[in-house]
Amino acid sequence: MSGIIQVAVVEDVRETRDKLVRSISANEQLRVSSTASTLAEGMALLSARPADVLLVDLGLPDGSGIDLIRNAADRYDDMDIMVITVFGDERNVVQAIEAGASGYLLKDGETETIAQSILQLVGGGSPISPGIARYLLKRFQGPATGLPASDSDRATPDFSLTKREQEVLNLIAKGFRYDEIAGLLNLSAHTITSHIKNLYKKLAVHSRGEAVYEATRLGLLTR
Amino acid sequence: MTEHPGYRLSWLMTRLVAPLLVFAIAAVLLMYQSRGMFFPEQYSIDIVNGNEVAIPLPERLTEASPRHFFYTVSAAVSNAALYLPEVNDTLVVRLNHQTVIDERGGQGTANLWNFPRLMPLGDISPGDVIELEVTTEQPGFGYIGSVYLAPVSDVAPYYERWQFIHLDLLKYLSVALFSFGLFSLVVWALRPQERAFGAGALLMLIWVAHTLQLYVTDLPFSRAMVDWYAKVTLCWMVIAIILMIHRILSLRHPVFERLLLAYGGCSSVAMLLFALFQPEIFWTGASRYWDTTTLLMGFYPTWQVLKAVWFQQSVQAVWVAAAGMLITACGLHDWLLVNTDWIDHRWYLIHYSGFAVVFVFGGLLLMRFVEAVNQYEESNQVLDAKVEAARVTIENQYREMQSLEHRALLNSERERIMRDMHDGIGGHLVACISVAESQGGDHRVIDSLKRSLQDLRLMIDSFEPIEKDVLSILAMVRERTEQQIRLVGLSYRWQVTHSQYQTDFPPDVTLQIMRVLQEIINNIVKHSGGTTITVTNQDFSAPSPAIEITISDDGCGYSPDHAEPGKGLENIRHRLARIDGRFVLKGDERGTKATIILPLQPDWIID
Repeated sequence: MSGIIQVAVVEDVRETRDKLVRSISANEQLRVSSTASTLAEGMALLSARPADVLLVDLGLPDGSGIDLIRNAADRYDDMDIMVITVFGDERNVVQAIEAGASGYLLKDGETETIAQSILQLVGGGSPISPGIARYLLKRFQGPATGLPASDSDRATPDFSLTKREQEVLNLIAKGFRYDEIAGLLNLSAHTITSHIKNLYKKLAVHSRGEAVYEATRLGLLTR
Repeated sequence: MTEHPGYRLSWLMTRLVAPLLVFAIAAVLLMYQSRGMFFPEQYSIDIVNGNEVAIPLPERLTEASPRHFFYTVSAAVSNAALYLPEVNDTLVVRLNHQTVIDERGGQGTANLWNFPRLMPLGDISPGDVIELEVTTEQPGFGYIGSVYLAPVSDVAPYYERWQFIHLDLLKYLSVALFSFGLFSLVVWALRPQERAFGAGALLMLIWVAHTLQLYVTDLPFSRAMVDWYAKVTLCWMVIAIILMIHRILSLRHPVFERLLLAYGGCSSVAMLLFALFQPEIFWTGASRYWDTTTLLMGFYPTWQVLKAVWFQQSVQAVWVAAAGMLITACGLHDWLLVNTDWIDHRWYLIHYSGFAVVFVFGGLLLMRFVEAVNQYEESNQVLDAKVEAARVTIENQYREMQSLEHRALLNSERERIMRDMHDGIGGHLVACISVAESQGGDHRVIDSLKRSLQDLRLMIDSFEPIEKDVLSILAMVRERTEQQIRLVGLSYRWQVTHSQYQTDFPPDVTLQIMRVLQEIINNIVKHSGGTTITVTNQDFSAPSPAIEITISDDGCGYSPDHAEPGKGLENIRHRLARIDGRFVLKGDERGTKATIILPLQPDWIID
């Protein structure tokens, strides 16, 4: 990756935004190109490609960051989007991934960690937590895993995991880190993180397809 | 039905004709073979008539009665008896012109038609003259048949056997038919749409009526009236058979049936009038005409059933046809016996075809009845099963709906709380920490804030909508503590292994376990000074399912003296005690080893 990586931050709480901006600016490879504190401002940013990486908080005062993520992902295919979250909880992160995000950032992360996460994402790897790994296993495999799957979570044949992906997700769900899994499976850590990024993209595409399917079924869209 | 006729013929041959032929041959053989059981030829005597002209037996009277027959005894017999198996009218017996037995009573004739007789004579000696006087109202029909003379003890067994086969058996048959008739009548009364049962009841009850003379012998009616009764009931029996066959085969000939009934009614009345007022014509023309038409009518149902067999090829129809042919054959036999000289004995067979009626028609009706009951039961069972299945489905749907609603409610509540925490308290805590850190605030305040955020995260994790087993709990704790331990130069040696217990801890239990683990790790971070935290887990199956988690470090080692008095460890013990768990802490110079042992409650285990 050559040149400085431009980062845009959309976060309503000033202290947190400031902290993020500080953390990003502290790394010489990164630069904050623009910031926004509301959904409207965030949308306005999208009129031109705002940055290489877009950081979005979900709980914006005038709406959900999910809409911003979806719009951004639609318009700028090559832009990496990260959701900023307090808890890194499965529900919020997965929602963001389905909308088109490919990474998440904990709001209270250490300065170093924040910068590293952004660089890792740009470098082709995505972070994941055991909870998200479990969700992906459930989502991609359907009820066969024994985990309850609601109707919208049902797996489709063209939407399944490779054996390797499954192995990786299983180990993540058990608490192993990328580097440990790399050792266990004789892979490079980078290969594994890019596996995860691909899975996120698959999930986003599938979710979109499902949404279109649902909308068509409900008569909201015509093909 | 487009089968080749050849096939149908062979089917008929094997199903009907061949068995019937075998049966008929066997019956005839049996009849002739068994004659010796009833007719003791060794005691046979020749009777001469009043004019002392020998007439061969069996004889047939040529004019109206009474007629006398004589026999002169040739040897002495003590305790002798006359055995007359075939005599068909009223008898008077005289020994040396003294009346021994007079069956006429006050009537002139008694209705002992075709009953066998055993008549004790006492001791007889050579030269004694036995006189038999046959009295009959019917011209040309006085019939005495074979006559046997022997000691009572010698002929009595023959008489008893013949009595049984000729009368008693038919009485039992009548009782059976009567029971079947009543049963059919009740079925028909309860279910009028079962018209075959009505016709069957009619047939059987008429049959029983026809055999009434087996029970009641001394009737105050003339011989002609009794004969009329027998002939009329026989004719109505045939009519009933026709009605029943129509119903069994589902044939609809309402006009034909009405004509038949009208004919039966009118001709019965006409015959009654003849019997009452013109017995001459009754005995000669009318009776013969009547018997013949009855026989011819009997061919009709046989023909219908044979047709049904031919076209439907049902086994039931075959049996009905066999019965019909048997009845027809017996009728033909009896018609020949009464109306011609071709048959030289008095063994009427029509009554025996009652067996066919009992077994075939009775059996058929019973089968229909059983089938109907079975169908009813089956449909009841099917209905029950359907109702039960529907009930179970509805119950399951209801439960599923309830649990879905419950889950949806929990989820929406959880999401609401999460959103509130995220946008509210969580965001504020993060902001607080950011501000405090950027302004170099008191590290105890920052620590406290961070611990609040940490605890909030544990709470949120414990509510994650995934199944919580020991590995996922350990994984979540690692996720939450990774950054924390790295900052003080520690790292995890993750040595967790697959657990045989698939569990789903409830949120409160999950939270307790996570807090305990967090507390242990906090202690290590604060006090250990080591570089590695090793996490392992193990299953125990005895005495009851339990899991063990050990968290060890390579730090300075735990010593109770250094431990904060009370607080942290006490907290851990209290928390574990609440979920029946135990905590063991061991330490030496090579490090500290914290062990949690948690017995698994049955409802935490899945499957």
